[in-house]
Formats: sequence, structure tokens, C-alpha cells
Amino acid sequence: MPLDEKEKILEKEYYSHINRYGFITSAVHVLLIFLPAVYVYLVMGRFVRLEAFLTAFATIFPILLPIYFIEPISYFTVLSVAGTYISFLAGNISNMRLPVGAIAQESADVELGSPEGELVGGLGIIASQLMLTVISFVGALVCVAIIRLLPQSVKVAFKYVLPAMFGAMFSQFGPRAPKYAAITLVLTFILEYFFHIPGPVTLLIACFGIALLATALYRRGIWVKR
Amino acid sequence: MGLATGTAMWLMAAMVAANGAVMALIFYRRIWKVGIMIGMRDETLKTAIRSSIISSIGPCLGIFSGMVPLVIALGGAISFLRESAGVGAIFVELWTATEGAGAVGAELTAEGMTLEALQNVLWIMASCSVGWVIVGCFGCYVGLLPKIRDRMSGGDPNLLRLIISVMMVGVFSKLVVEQGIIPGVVGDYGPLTACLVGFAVALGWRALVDILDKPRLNEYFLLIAIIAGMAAAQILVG
Repeated sequence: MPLDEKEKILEKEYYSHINRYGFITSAVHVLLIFLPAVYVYLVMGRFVRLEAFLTAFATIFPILLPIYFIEPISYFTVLSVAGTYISFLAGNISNMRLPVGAIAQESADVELGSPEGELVGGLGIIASQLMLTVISFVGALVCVAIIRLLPQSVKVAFKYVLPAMFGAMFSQFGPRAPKYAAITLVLTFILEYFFHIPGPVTLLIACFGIALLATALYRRGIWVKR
Repeated sequence: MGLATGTAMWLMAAMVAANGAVMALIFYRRIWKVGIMIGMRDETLKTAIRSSIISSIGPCLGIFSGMVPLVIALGGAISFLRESAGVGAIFVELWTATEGAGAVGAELTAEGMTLEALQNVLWIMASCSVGWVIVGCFGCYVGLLPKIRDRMSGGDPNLLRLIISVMMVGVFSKLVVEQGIIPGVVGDYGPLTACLVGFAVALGWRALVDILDKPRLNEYFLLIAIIAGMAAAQILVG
């Protein structure tokens, strides 16, 4: 079958269907995800102190804001349309969706970016979502039993999860752009430690400032990988 | 914690997980139908499914292990809700939960969790995860994603890759400084130790994977680095 005919079929039979049901289930998800909070609110009989909510929200939201945009934009081409809906509903993109989608396409021997690649990539991500549902359910049950056996010293050590995790994540991205990593480390330290600039402002400077710098240098051919 | 692990919470977790599964099954049926329409063979589609299930096992193990701290702090029901279809990246979940509990003066532990802390944690976790759904899913629905991607880079894929890389570097530099370096500079060496060990072990793990030529072992780098960082900080600093 010629390529343009396949694309016409996808346009008519695939994208509209995926977009319609992807939109509906995403909208339902946005409502469902708040149910537990509403439930605890009803049991407690009052809303949590607004100040407490805003304190935590104002700390996290500015940090996640660029990531909300960075991830969908950067992953969209790789994940395909169906894969994008599932991935941004259920997460675990770099550690699960991307590798599984890529392996599915390779195993089925389809070309990236082709109609077949689009469908097979989507199938891979669908399979990963069904696996994740089962595993996270089993994990939620078994973890509880395991935790009862853990000694106190192990439970206390969990306060170090975040610094260890951020150190590890930095090792994933830092070496890809070491000069920019050095600049942002020094810059954010100076801003936060010496000038006590609030975290979200530091983040905006570190994130968008470095993006502007990188764009300017790229256009002048400086620090560009050949 | 009774409320967090009660039947009602499990029921709500099941509803969220079921919604994600329903989306996946609707897409699955349509992909199969359209695949056949464009001339793909049953065998090709079956191969894709089979290889995806097998290749999902490794990442699932990482997620499974990563659930431990979340289950310790919030119980099985909430962990199932967040990991099955609640955006789920374990570091985001732990971080939002920690901040949510900390804002009401509580610690993210089963002992430290009050009703108010639990409510704040749940509001914060939900509010901070919908951004991905809105931008990802709705951005896809209205066709914004391809347009934004082309605008940022002026259609230059190399520049786009560079922008994305340096922005991620910026995010994690800031978090490393805030969570590891500054506590160390003011005399709290536990977080700094965890951060440095996490960094070094992750780097070493990936180098080892390259030497062994077993790329699938890369899936475990985060888990190994976290465990090493936690253990080192606990043993060396306490």
C-alpha cells in the first residue's frame, strides 16, 4: 500500500479517534486524581491551612513548570500520539516509555516516523502501562509486608533519598553539557547561598538564563558539538 | 495512617488505575484495527506486544523498588494510585509529598503523618501532577506540541536538543545545590554525602554498563545510586 494512502487512513481512522478518547480519559483523570484529597477534606471537616498549601505549592510549582513544557515538547516525536497521551497521564517516561517504545519498534522491524512505527510505538507504550498497573498494585501490597520487617535504622535513612536521587539525576544530565553544568552549579550556589534569592527565582535564572546563553552561543558556533 | 490505607482510599486508587487502563485498552483496539487496515500482519503486532511486555519487566522492577519509601510514608493505596497512573516518577512523588508534609510541620514518615499533613500531601501531589496532563495530553489534542517544538528551535533539531539538555542541567543543578551542597556548607553533612555518593555511583554504574556492554542494566542506575547514597550518608554521618 502506498505511503500517502496509509497516512490518509491514519488521519481518518486513527488520530481523530485517539485524540477524542485521549482527551476524554485525560479529563476524567484530572477529576479523579483529586478525589483522595477531597475525601480526606470531608473526613477532616475542614480544608488544610491555605498558607500550608501555598507554601508547598509555591516551592514545587515553579520548579516543575518548565518541566511540564520541556518533557512533552522533547518527547512528543518519539512517543507518538497514543504514547504521548499515556505517558503524560501515567508518567515514568525516560525510565520506561521511551526504552519500551523503541524496543517494540525495533523488534517489529518498523521504521521510525512511519505509520507502522507510530502504531507499534503506541502498542509498546500501551503494554508498558498495563504492566505498570499490575506491578504497582503488587508492589503496593508486598511493600507493606516488607516494611514491617525493616529495622529502624533503614527507615531513618530514607530522609537521604532526595539528595541521593538529585545527585544521581545530575550525573545523567551534567556530563551531556559539562560547561553549562559548571555554570549553573556555581550560579545557583551564589544566588541562593550569598544573595538568598528565593528558590523559584533561582530556578528561572538557571533554567531559562542558561537556555538563552546556549542559544546565543550556538548561533555563534561556540561550544557546539561537531 | 488508617485513613490512608483504608478501603475507600484503595477504591479511589483503583478508579485512577482503571482510567489509565481503559485509555490503554481503547488505544490498543484502535491501533490493532488500523494496523490491519494499512496492511500490517498480526504477527508483527503480536511481536511488538510480546517484546514490550518483556522489556517492561526491568523498568517495572526499578519502579517496584522505588515504591518502598512512598509506601513507608503514605501506605499502599496512595502509592498504588500515584505509581499506576498518577504521573508516577518516584522522585517527583517523594519530593511533592515531602514538601506537602513539611509545610504543615510534619515529617514524611508513618509516625509523623497527621490528618492535616495527609490532606496537604494529597492536594500538593494532585495539583503538581496535573500540569503534565494538561500540557501533554491537551497540548497534543489541540496540536500545540508540534508547533511549540518548531518555534523554540526555529526548526533546528540540534538547537532544540541543546536547549532541552541545558534546561535539564539547570533544573538539576539547582536541586543539587539546594538539597545537597548548601546543607553541607552549613554543616549538615548527611545530605551532601548522599548527593555526592548518589552522583558518583550513578556515574560509575553507567561506566560499568558501557564496559560490560549491557545497556539494559542502565535501568537500575537510579535505584543503585539512591541505595548507595542513603547507606553512605546513614553509615558515615548518621
